Amino acid sequence: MLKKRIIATLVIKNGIVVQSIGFKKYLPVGKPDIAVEFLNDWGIDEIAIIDIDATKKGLKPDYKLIEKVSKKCFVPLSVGGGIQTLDDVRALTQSGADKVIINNLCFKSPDKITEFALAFGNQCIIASVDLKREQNEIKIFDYTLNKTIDYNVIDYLKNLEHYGAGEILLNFVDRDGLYKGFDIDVINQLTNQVSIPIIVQGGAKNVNSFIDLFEKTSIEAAAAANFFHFSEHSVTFTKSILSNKLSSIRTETNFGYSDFKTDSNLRILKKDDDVLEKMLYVKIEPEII
Amino acid sequence: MNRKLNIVIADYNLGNTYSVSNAIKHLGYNVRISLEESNLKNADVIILPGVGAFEEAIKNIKSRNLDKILGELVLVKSKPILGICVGMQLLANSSEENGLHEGLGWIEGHVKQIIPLNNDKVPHVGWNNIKITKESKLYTNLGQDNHFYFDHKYHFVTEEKFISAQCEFGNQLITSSVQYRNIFGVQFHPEKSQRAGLKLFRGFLENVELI
Amino acid sequence: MKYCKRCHYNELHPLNLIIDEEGVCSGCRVHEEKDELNWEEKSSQLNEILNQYRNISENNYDCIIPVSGARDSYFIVHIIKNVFKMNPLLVTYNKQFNTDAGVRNLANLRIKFGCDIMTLTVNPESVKKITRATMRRLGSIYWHCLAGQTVFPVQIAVKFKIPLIIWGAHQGIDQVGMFSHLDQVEMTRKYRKEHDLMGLEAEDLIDSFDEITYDDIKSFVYPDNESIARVGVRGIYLNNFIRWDTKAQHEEMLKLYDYETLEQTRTFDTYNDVDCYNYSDVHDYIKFIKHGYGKISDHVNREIRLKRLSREQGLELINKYSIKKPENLAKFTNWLGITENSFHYIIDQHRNPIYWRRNEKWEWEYINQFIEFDQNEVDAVRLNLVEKTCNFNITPVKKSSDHKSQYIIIGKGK
Repeated sequence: MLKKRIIATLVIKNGIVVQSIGFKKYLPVGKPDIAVEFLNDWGIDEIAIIDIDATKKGLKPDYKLIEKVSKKCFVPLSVGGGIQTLDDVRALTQSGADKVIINNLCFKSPDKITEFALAFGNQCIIASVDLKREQNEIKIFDYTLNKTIDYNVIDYLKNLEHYGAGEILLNFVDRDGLYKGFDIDVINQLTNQVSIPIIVQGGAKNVNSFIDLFEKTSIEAAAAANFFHFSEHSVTFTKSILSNKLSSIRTETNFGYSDFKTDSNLRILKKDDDVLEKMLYVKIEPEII
Repeated sequence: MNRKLNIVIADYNLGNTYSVSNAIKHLGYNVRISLEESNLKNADVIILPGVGAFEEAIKNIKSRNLDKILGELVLVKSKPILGICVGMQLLANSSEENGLHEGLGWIEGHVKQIIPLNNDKVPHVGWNNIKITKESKLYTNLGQDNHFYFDHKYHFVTEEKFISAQCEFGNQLITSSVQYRNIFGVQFHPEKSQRAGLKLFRGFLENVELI
Repeated sequence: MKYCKRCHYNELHPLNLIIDEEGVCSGCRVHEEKDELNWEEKSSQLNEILNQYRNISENNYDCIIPVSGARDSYFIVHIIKNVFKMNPLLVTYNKQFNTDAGVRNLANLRIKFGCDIMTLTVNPESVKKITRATMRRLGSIYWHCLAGQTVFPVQIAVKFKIPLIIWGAHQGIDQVGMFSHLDQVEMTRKYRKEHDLMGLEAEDLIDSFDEITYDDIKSFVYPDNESIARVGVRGIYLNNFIRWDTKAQHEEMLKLYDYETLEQTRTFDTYNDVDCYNYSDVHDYIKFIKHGYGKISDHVNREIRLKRLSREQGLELINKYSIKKPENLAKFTNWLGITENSFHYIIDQHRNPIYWRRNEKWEWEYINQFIEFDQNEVDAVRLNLVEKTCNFNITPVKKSSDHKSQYIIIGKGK
C-alpha cells in the first residue's frame, strides 16, 4: 500500500534555514546540510528545500548548496527557488535534486512545465501554488508582488496538471508559521479536482494536525517546516504517534516512540518508573547497515 | 566488505548519478561515474540509473553507443548490472511513454502507462512496501516488510518469471523489481529509500556473483 | 555588512542572524518577548512538566542538572530543587581549566543545596590530543569543554534511566532569536553538532595525523538514537519558562548562597564564566580573531536588550575589552605542550580575512566593518533604559577549600 508522505520543508534565506512566520518574519535556524542530515536520520519521507529569495532577487538556484545537502540525503529531495530554464533543472538534478518546485514560473510561462516534463518526466515537476483567504474566498497569492491575483483556483490547478506537472504543492499563506492546523475545508474542496497527487503545507502545529488532516481528507502528502526543528527526533516521534492511529504511515527507523504517552503540548511523557527500572542493565547494540 | 569492488555508474546525462554515487559512497565503497568504454569494461558491477523520460533516455544511450558496449559486457561477458527506475525500464523491449520507443530488450517485457483505478492518483509517487516474490541477491540484507520510494507514471509489464518483487497500488500490482540472470532492475529508487535502500545496495554489492 | 540598529551584532554571527526591514535583528526581536509573555503561565507549564517526572518509586532521581562552578548553575539548582522541590542529580564535566573560585563555587553548590554530583574527568592526555586536533581543524581550544558538558548529562540520562535534563538558557534563543520562547524548544543532538561541536562529532576526530584513536574520544560519543528513544530522554531549557536575566539571577544567588564572583580579562561580567581561566581569556581572544567580536559583545548586547546599557555605552565597552590580550596564554600553551609561536601560527590559519589584514609592519590590524547609522534610525528602534547603571559586583575572595584544617572535597589536580 502506498503510504502517506510526511515532508519536511526547509525554507532558505541567505543560505541558511529559517523559520518563516506569516511570510514576513524570519528566525535563523541553521545550516541546511546539518538539517538534512538529521531529518534523514529521523526517518523523514521526503525533503523540500525552498529558497525564498532567489526568484525575487533574480538569482539562480544555489547548486553548490544542493550538492552539499544531497550528500547526506537518502530520501527524495525537491528543490525550489530561482528556476527559470531547462538548464537550471538539469543542473539541479545533477547536483542531487530529484524533483524541482516551480511557483512563479507556472503563471508566467506555463509551457515551461511541459518543456521540463518532456525532458525529465512529469514526476520530476512539482507545481507550487500559494493560497490566501481574502474576504472568505480562497485566492492565488503572488509572493513576488505580495498580492493576490484573479484566477479561478480550480481552473488554475487543472491547468497545471494539463501542462504536465507531476504533483501540486498547496501552500496556505495565512497559516504560515501560525500553528493553526491545516485548512481542512479548502483542502477537501480541492483534492479531487485533479488526478495528480497534492501536497499541502502551512499550519502544522504538532502530530495532531497530521492526524486531523489524514482522517478528514484523502490528501496524499503533508509538509511541515518549523515544528520539526523544535525537539529531538521530532519526525520519528510524529510518525510513531501517527502510526498508532493510521496504518498508512511508514515507520522504518530502528527506533521509535509508539510506546510513549504525550502531554497537552504533544511532547513525550515519562515512562513509568518500573518500566525504566527494568531497562537499567539492558545494553543496546547500535545498528550497522 | 569488499571495498575494492570496482563499481561504475553509467553516465548518459539523464540519470541522478550523483545521488546514486552518494548512497554507495556512504557505505564505504569506491564508485566511479563514467561512460568511457575502458572504465565500463573494468567494472565489476555496473549501475544504470535513470530519472526522466524514456525517449530521451534511450536516445542518449544509443547516441553514446552504450547499447552496444553494455550489450557486449552484460549479455556476452555476463557482468552484473542494476538498472534503477528508467534505467530498469530501458531493459524492456519497448516503452509507450510519449509514443512507442524501442528499449534494450534484455528482459522480455513492455513499459506501459499505469491506468489509475478508482481514485488512485498517477504518478505512483511515494513510499510503498514491496512483496518479495522470488529470492534475489537484491534482498539478501532485508527482512520481509520494506518500504521503497517510487516515482513513476509507466510500469514494467512482464512475465512472472522475471519478477522478483511487486507492490500494491490501489487494486493493481506494480512490478517493483526484475531479474534475468546477471541483469537486475528496480522500479523504485534505492538511493532515495533511506535505510532500506542502503541495505539493498549493501546486500547486492556483497552478494552479487562477480565474474 | 549589515548590523543591527539596536544591538551590536551583524549578520555574520556564527549562530546566524536575520535583520528585518526595520534594521533590527532576530535576537532583539525574540528578546522583546521577555516583556510580552505571561511568565506566570509559563511557570505553571514548567510545573506541569516537572510533576510528570517526579520519581514515585523512590529508587531514582527526578532529573539531571548539568552544572559547573559558574554560569547560572546556582540559579538552575535553586529553581529546581528549592522552588519546585525536585530531587535532581547534578552532573559536571571537568573542563580542566579550573580557577580556584570555580572549584570553590562547585563545592559550595553541593554543600548549600545538599545534592549528589557526578563528575567526568577525561584523562588529560586524551584531552590534550583532542585540543591540539580541534585547534588545528577548527581553531578551537574549547571543543572538549563544549562536547563534554553537552554529552555527559545525556550519557548519564541514558545509563541511569533519568529521562529529564534541565538546562538554563538556550543560547540560540537568547543571542540570535533562533526560536521564539513559545516554540518551547528542547535539546537536540542536531543543535549540539552544528553549534557546540562546530560540525565535528567525536568520531570525526579519529585521525592518524593527530594520533587520535577511538579510545581517546569514547567519552565524548553521543548515545545512539535507540538508547535515547527507549528512555525518552528530553532536555528542556528554563529560559522558555522563566524570564531570563542572568545578571539579576546571579545577584540573587550572591545573597542567598554565597556565590563567588571573579574579575574577567575580556569582559565586565564578573558572574558568568568565573570557573575557567581560559574562557574569557585565550578562548575569547580566539573568538575575536575568528569572528571579529568577543564575549564582550554578547554581554553588551544582552544588557542593551535588558535595558541596562545604551547602544553608545555598549560600544565603548566593546572597544575597551575586545582588543585586550589574553593573560593566561603561557599557562595554556605550557599545559598543551606547544610554544606561543606555534599557537599564533595555528590560530592565524583561522583568522577571519573580513576583519583582519596585515599592515605595512606585517602586524595584524583589525578592520572595523561597522559604519555608524544615522542617529534617527537608531533612535527609532531604541529601548528606554529601565536601570541607570549596569554594575557587576565583586565578592571578597574566599579561603581555599584545600586549606589544611578542612576536609578536601575536591582535588585540583597537579
